[in-house]
Amino acid sequence: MTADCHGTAGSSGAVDVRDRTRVALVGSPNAGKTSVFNHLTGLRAKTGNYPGVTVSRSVGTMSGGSEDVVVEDLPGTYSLSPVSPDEEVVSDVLAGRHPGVPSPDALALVVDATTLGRSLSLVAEAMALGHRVALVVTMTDELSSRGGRLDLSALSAALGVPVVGVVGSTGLGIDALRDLLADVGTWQTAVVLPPVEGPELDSWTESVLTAADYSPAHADTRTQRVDAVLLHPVWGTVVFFAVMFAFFQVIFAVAAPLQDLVQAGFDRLAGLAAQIPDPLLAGLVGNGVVGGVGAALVFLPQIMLLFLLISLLESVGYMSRAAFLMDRVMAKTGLEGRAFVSMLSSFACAVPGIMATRTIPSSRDRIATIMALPLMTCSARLPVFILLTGLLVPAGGAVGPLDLRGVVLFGLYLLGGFSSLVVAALFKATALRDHLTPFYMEMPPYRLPSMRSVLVTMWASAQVFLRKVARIIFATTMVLWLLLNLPVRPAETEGMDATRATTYTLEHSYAAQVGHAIEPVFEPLGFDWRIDVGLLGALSAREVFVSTLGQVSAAQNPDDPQQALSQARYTDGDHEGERVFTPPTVVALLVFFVYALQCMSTIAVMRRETNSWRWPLVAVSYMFVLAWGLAFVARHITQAILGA
Amino acid sequence: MTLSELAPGANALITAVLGEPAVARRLASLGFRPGTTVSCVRRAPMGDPTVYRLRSFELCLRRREAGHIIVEAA
Amino acid sequence: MIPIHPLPGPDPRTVRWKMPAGTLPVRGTSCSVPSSLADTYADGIVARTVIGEDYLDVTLGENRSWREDGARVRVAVLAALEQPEAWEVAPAGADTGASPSVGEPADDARLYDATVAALAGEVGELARSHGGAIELDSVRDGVVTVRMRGACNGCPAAELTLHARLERQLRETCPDLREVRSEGTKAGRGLLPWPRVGRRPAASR
Repeated sequence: MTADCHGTAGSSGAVDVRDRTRVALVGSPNAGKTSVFNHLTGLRAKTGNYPGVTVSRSVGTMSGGSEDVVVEDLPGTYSLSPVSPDEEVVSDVLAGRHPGVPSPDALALVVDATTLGRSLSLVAEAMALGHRVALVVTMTDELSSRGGRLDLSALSAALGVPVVGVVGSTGLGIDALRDLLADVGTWQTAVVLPPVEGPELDSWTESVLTAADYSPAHADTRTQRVDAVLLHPVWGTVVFFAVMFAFFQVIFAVAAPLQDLVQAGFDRLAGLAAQIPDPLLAGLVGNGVVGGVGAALVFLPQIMLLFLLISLLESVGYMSRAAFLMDRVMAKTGLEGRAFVSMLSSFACAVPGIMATRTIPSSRDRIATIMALPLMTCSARLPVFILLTGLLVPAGGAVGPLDLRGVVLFGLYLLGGFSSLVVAALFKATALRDHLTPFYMEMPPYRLPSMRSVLVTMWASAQVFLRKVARIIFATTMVLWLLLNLPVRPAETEGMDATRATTYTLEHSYAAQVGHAIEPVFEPLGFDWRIDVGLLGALSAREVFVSTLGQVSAAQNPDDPQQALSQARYTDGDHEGERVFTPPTVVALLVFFVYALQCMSTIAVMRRETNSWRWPLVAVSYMFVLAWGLAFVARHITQAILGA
Repeated sequence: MTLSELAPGANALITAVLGEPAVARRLASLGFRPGTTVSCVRRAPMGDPTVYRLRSFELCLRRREAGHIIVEAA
Repeated sequence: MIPIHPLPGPDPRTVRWKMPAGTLPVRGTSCSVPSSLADTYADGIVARTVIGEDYLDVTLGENRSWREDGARVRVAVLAALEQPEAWEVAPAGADTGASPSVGEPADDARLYDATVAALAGEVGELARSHGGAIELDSVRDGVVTVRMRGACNGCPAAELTLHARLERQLRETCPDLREVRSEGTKAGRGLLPWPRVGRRPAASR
């Protein structure tokens, strides 16, 4: 059955069938809504955006025998009277005003038992709109462990609507909730709609709480003790950097061997493909298909680990603390603390960084962050930087005790990070300006996360990656392979050794034609057509630049083309016969790689996360202008300094 | 005085929430309602934002938002 | 602000407003309520209120719904609970509540409902067709007090007709009716004997 349902969730539109009951989960952030959602829908959730806007949406069918109930996890909100465009989406969906999104038949209001007093104002708003509602009270275990008290059946009587208690970490009460959601028609409704503001609301809230025998929890002493350290001006900062260091260590140290394993697996497959007698078919299958799938899947371990960590930090409660510590720094760019984690993730890869912006509540902040993230020095740039730095700086060069190549590399990372923050600030100060939306962030108590919820969140991200991003990487790799290897020249390459043959084919391929065609664009930067072909190859993933350049310059080992490149000379034009990789050209190329958005996967995930082509186009354009302009400037400065 | 002036460790009683109506309403939904006791827990290392405790939960506001909340030292 | 919340009452038109025990000093069907609540009687929203130990049962008038009038009633009840001294109940057997078998309060209740029905029906229609209105003020010890509004207020002809019709209709169903009295405008709190002659405003027809 599981496999069957899985297929249902995968096919788009399956969850939008009209005759099913639609139940929306409404609640404040941190109320445990997502955990309840994950319990109800398991792996059958679909994540995306609401039509036309950059606000995340999760929809899934309920598991456990009631497949005709569709559950929608609305963005977390403290109130139904919106103060931001994002919250407007919630109230629009509830009112059935959002185009393309049917209004829910009933609302399950997820409220945290430890903050029940405050949550009742949201409950009142939802009830006052005339919706059919039920309460899902979470954290009841935490309430009693912290000395609080709540009578759920008395609460139900006082509110006049059904109430179910749920413990997210263990899944206790989920079955009762499932039964309730399967039978929306029988829900009791309140006799009089509650007041939504003023003293009437205070009166109602107090009376309902008294009737439910509610006594609030004590402040969580364990959380207070932990916070005394983790938010301490000195220790808090130390721990913060330690956590971030560990975060990176795990991504690189743990993911790298896994990625190597995936790579090795695909290399084996490619080796098998080489047995195919027809050379073109062998190349197509081995390098095109297997290489394409491999290029995509090699990212998977890193993406899954990154999301595992983000999801863990989030559900433990540390993410709010990190955001709290970094808020002041991020505020300088007009963003808020929560953008920091995305920025950090992008040092690994912009794709998960962009996906992690979902934790940022304001869509303007989200878009500004997404626009700036591709400038962060991702790990795919590293091989390119290492190759080019090697061409630029002689081995053994040093600045005092420091290795000169290391210094240049560090400078490139710094340049990327700094540029990213400046760009974010510029976007926030202009197109994405936003004065009104107030900043507030709850500091939830530290909690042991539900492993199930953490894993489901990780899997959801992996699915997004596999469905949307992997396809793009695969397609780009295939197309590029075809461009680089067609047309075939069996007659001309007759009798050549393999390296010469590859180079000959490449030199006369469609890609070479494109390279020659775009040569005038990059000529002012000193790039010849072979570099242009390399830039073309880098579209599937930046590190492919290295091997493409290796092939086109007839390197014996295309993966280590430094020797061949240092000898490369212009084959035509004004500079015919001169060396291509002069310091000004290499510097220009480095700067170009710092700024250019030449990564199809990033563009694809931007399209998905911003829900339009507009922002990816903006990103590609502004980054190309920056890359070209700054590379040009860098080239001339270098020339001036070297007196060349 | 306003909540932003409350020193860490001190308690106060909220007497009014001012400012843009939408913002004031939101602060009320968050629990900052007249008659509620609030305590300032701690400031971030760089002075902003600040964590406040209301009854049984904690949340942080920037100086700008805390400035809308009028309190009476308790 | 007194904390209150609504619960389903003994019948669909009645809502039980739960309040802290002992909020009001008296028990039973109220015959005099603070002005905020009296206004809802005057507007025909509320027909009856019964005070219990920790609740107030509020019954709506004919053709009223809790969905639409709930908010208004809530505000009125909250204001009225702030003035516990202004509540009065029918004296005899008052603390036994609104049991229909016991004493006068029950009869008053029936008389109340009958008056509400009459005012919503033919008699009220007659007043409205002449540009006026009759509103129920209170029922106490078999005495029904109504209030004339609009064109009917101060017009002896209209008052006479309406009085006769109302009294006749009530007598048919409620033999306990002792008297129907008319109160002037809302401002004039004092009760005037029926029928009222003289001091007739020049503008009336």
